[in-house]
Amino acid sequence: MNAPLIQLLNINKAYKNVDDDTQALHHVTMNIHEGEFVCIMGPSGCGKSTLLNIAGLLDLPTEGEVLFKGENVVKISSRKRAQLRRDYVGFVFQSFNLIDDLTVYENIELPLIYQQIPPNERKLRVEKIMDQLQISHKKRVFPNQISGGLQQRVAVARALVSNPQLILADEPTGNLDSERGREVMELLQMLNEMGTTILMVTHSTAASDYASRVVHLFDGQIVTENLHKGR
Amino acid sequence: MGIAFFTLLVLVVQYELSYDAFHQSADRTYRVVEIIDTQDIGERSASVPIGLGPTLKTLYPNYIDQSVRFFNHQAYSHVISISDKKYNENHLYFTDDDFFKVFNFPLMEGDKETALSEPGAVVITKELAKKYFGEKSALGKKILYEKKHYLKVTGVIDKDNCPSHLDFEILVSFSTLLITNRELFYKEDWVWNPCWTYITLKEDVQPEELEADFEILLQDPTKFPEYLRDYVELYLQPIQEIHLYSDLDFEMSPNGDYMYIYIFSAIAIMVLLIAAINFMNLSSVRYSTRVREVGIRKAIGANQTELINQFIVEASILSILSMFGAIVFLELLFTFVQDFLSNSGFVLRDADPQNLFLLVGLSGLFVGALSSFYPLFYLSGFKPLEGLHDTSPKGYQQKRFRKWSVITQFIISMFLLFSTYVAKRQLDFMKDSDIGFKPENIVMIPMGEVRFQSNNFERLKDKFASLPNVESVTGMDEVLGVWVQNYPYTFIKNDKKLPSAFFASIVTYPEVFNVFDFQVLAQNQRNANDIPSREIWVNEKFIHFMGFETPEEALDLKVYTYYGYQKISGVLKDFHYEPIHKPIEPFIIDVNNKYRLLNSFSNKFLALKIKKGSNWNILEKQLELKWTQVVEYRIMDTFFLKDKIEDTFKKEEQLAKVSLIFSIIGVIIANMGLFGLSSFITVRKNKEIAIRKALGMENFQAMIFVSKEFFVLVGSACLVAWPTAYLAMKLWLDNFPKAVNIDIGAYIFSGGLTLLMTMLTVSYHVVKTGIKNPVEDLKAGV
Repeated sequence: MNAPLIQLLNINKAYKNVDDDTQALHHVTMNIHEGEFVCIMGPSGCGKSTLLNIAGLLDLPTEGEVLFKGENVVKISSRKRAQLRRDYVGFVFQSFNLIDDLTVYENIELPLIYQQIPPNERKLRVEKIMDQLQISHKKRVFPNQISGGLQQRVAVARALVSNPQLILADEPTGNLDSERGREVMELLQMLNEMGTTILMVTHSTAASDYASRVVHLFDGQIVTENLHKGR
Repeated sequence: MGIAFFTLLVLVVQYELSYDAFHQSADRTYRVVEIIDTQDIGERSASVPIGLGPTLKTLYPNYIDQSVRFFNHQAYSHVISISDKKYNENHLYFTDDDFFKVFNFPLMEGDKETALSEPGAVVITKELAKKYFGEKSALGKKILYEKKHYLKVTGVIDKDNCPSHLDFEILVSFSTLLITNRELFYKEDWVWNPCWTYITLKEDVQPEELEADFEILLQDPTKFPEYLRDYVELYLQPIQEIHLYSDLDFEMSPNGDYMYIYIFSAIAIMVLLIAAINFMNLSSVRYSTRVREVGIRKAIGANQTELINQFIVEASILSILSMFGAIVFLELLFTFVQDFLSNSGFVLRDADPQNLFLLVGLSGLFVGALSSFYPLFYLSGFKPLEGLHDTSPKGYQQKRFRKWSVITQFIISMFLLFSTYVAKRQLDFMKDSDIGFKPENIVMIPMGEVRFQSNNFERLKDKFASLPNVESVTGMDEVLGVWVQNYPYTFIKNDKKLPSAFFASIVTYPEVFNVFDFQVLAQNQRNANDIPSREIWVNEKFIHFMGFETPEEALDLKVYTYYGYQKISGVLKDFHYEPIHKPIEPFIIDVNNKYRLLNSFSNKFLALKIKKGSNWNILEKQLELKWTQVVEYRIMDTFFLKDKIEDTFKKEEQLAKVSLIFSIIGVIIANMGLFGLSSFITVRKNKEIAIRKALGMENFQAMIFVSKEFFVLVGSACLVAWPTAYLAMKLWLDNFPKAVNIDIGAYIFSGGLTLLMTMLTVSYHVVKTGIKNPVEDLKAGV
C-alpha cells in the first residue's frame, strides 16, 4: 500500500452552541492513502462533512492531529494551509458552488489564478480539461444558464484543472438525477484510476459502490470500514 | 444627527438673512453712500459729509420722511467715566433725534419720543447699563464723556432680538455736538465724509426717483467743492442689503457676505441629503429583510395600498423618533456651536421654539419622505412569489440603488473635504503672504481725544521712545495694514496740473520708516539743511498709474501741498496697506516733518516698534506708567498690528472651520450608512469567498477581494466629486485678488481621507469575512 496522504489521529471536533456544545467527531482516527477512493457514509448530522472539511484542510479539529503528507497541518498558519489546498486539493460540492458572476471558463480558471499560473498556460489547461469533460461549448455562459448535470461537470473540471493529488467530493450526486449522477461518478472513478486520491461523502449507496473503501460514521464515530473492489 | 446639524446651519443662515428686517419701515429705509471716482481711483464710502443728511431732508421734502446720521469723530474709542471708573468705548455714536422713528430698537427704559432730543442725552444698551450701574435702573444717571461733558441716560435699549449692521452701544444726541462746538466746525465741510446717513422715503417714492434728483444737490456751488463736484455720485443702499451685500470703504463695522450664506446653505442641504440617503439606505436594508413578510402578507390578500399605508405609518413613527432625537441632539449641541461661532461674525441665536420645531419638523419630514419613498414602492410592488422565494431580480436593482446612494454620499462628503482643503489653503496662503512689511512687534496705541490736547502726543511719543525695549515710535491717522483714509492730492506732471484725485493714503511721521521695514525703490537726494515740511512717498502702483516706466522717472513728479510745490520724496515697493483681500491701488505715505501739532487731527494712533523678544507684560506696564504720567483720564489701549491683520481673516477662518466640521460630520454620517452597506455586501460575498478559499484564496486576498468593491465606489465618487468641487472652488477663489492654485493635495486629501475612512468603516466586515472559516458558507444551500 502507498504511504498515507492524510492521517487523522484521534480527532475531536466540537461546535459551541448557546446552551450546550455539539460534539461532531469523537476520537476519529483514519488514514487515507495515495490512490485510494474512500467513501464516507452515515445519516445526516453524523459528522461526515466535518470529517471531509478537516481532511481537506478547510477546517481544524478541536483536538487531535491532521497529517497531510506527513506534516501536521493543525500547527501551521492558515496561509500555509491555503497554499496546501490550492496545490494539492480539489473540491466538488453537492451544491456545485460555482460563482454566479463568473462564466464557466472563468470558474474553471480560478484555482490556477490562485496558483499564480501564467495566463497562457492557464488557457491551455482550462481548454484541455473542458475538452476532456466535453463542456467546451459552454465556456462563455454563466452557471445559472446550464443544467445541474453540466454545472457539476464544471465543478469537477474546476477541481481537476490544477491536477490535485486529492479530490474531496461532498455529495457530488446529491442534486443530480440518477443518469447525471452516474456520469459524475464515472468521471470520478476514471480520475481515481489515473491516480487521483478521492475522498467522498455521500448518502447514496449507488455512489458508494464506486469507492474502494467505505467508512461508516455514526454520532461522530467510525463504526465500520469495508473494502470494496468497486464496479 | 443630520437633521440637528441642518437645523443649526439654517438657524445661522436665517439670522444672517434677518439683519435690519425688524425696522417698521425697513423696506423704505436706505443708507446714502458716496462714490468718488477720479481717474478710476477714489473711494466708495459708506459715510457721507456731515451736512448731507439735513440738506437732503430740506431739499427733498416730497421724497424723504426722516434722516438719521451717525457720527463718531472717526475715533477708535471714546472715554466714558462713571465716578472713578474709566472705560474706552468703541461703539459710541452721535445720532439724530429721528433715530427711533427710523429704527425700531426697543427701549427697556425711557421714552422714544424724547430720548435723543436734548443736548447731553445718551441712550445705552442694556449690557452697558449693567456694566455701568449693575442691576439698578440706569435712567437719569450721569456719565462723563471725554473727561468734561456730563451726559444723562435717557434710555436703555434691548438689542437682543435685533440683528443689525448698526453696531452701537452708546448713542449720544447729535445736538450734544453743539455743546462741544464741533458741529459748527464741521458742518460746512463737504469733503470730509464721516457720517453714516440713513433716510426713510415716503410711502410711494422709489429710490431711483430721488437718486435722479441728486444732480441738483451735486451741482450746488455751495456744497461739494468744484474740484470734486464732477466726480461725486450719491446712491441709496437698501438697509436690509447692507449686512450681506455691502463692502464699501469705512463701513460702520465689518459686514457679512452673501457668499457665505450660499456656502452655508449648500453645506446644510448636503448634510441633510447625506442623512436622508443614509436613512433611505438603512431602511431599504431593513425592508429587504422583510421581503418574506411582504410576500406572506400579499399571499394572504394584502393589496398594495394597504402595504403602502403600513409602511407610511412605520416610516412616520421612525421619522418622528428621529425628530425627537434631533431635538435632543440640538439641545446638547447648541451651546457648543454658539461658543464655536462666537467672535466669528456669525451668530447662532437662541431660536424661538416655534421656529425650531418647524425647522426640525420640515427637515424630518423631508428625510422621512425621501427615505421611505423608494423602499415603499419597491417592496409594496412585489409579486407574492418573489417575496416567498426571496430570489427576485429586484434584489439586484436594490443592490444597485444602494450602491448609487452610497456613491452620492461619497460625492457629497468628498466635495466638502475638497472644499475644506482649498479654503484652508487659501486662508494659510493669505496669512503667510508677504504683505510687504513685517507687522510683528508693532504695537498700536489708539489716542482717542487725547490727540487734540496740546503737546500730549509729542510727550507720549518721546516718553515711549525712551524705553529701552522700544525701538521707534511714530504717529499715524489710521492703522496701516488694516484700514486707511483717502485724501485728495494734486500732482503736476510735465508742468501740467492734473485734476485732484482721492488717493488711499496714510498721514504719518518720518519715524514710520523705522517702525515699518518698507523697501525703498527710489529716493530723491536732499541735504540735511533742506528737509521739506512734508514728504510724499508713493508706491509702485502709483508710478504705473501715472504712466511711468521706472520708479526713478517718478521722482520728478511734483505734488501740490499746503506748503507749496515739492517733488515726490521716494518710491516704495508695493505693500498691503489694507488687508490682502483687497487689491493694491496707488498709495501715498504722507510724511509730516514739521507742524505736527497743527496736524493733530491725524494723530489717532501711536505705532511702536518694540524689540524682538522683549517681555510684553513688563513692557506694557512700563508703557502704562509713562501713559499715566501724561494722560490721566484715559486708560491705555493697545493691540498688536499682527493680531489686527489676522482678525481680517476671521470670516475665512470660520468658513474653513465650519466646512471642516461639517465635512467631518458628513463623512461620519456617510460612513454610518456605509457600515450598514458593508455588512450587506460582505454577507452577499461570503459564499463566493468561501468557494474561492476552498480553491486556495488566502485570507489577505479575501480581504482585498471584498475591499475592491468599496474602492470602486470611492473611485466612482471621485469622478463626479473632483470636477464639481474644482469648479465650485475656482469660482470662490476668483473673489480674491491673489489665490492659490488648486493642487494635487486637494485630490489626495479628499480622495485619500474618504478612502481611509471607508477602509476603517468596512474593515470590521472585511476582516471578519477575510478570516472567516469558509466551511459555514459552503454548507449553505444554493
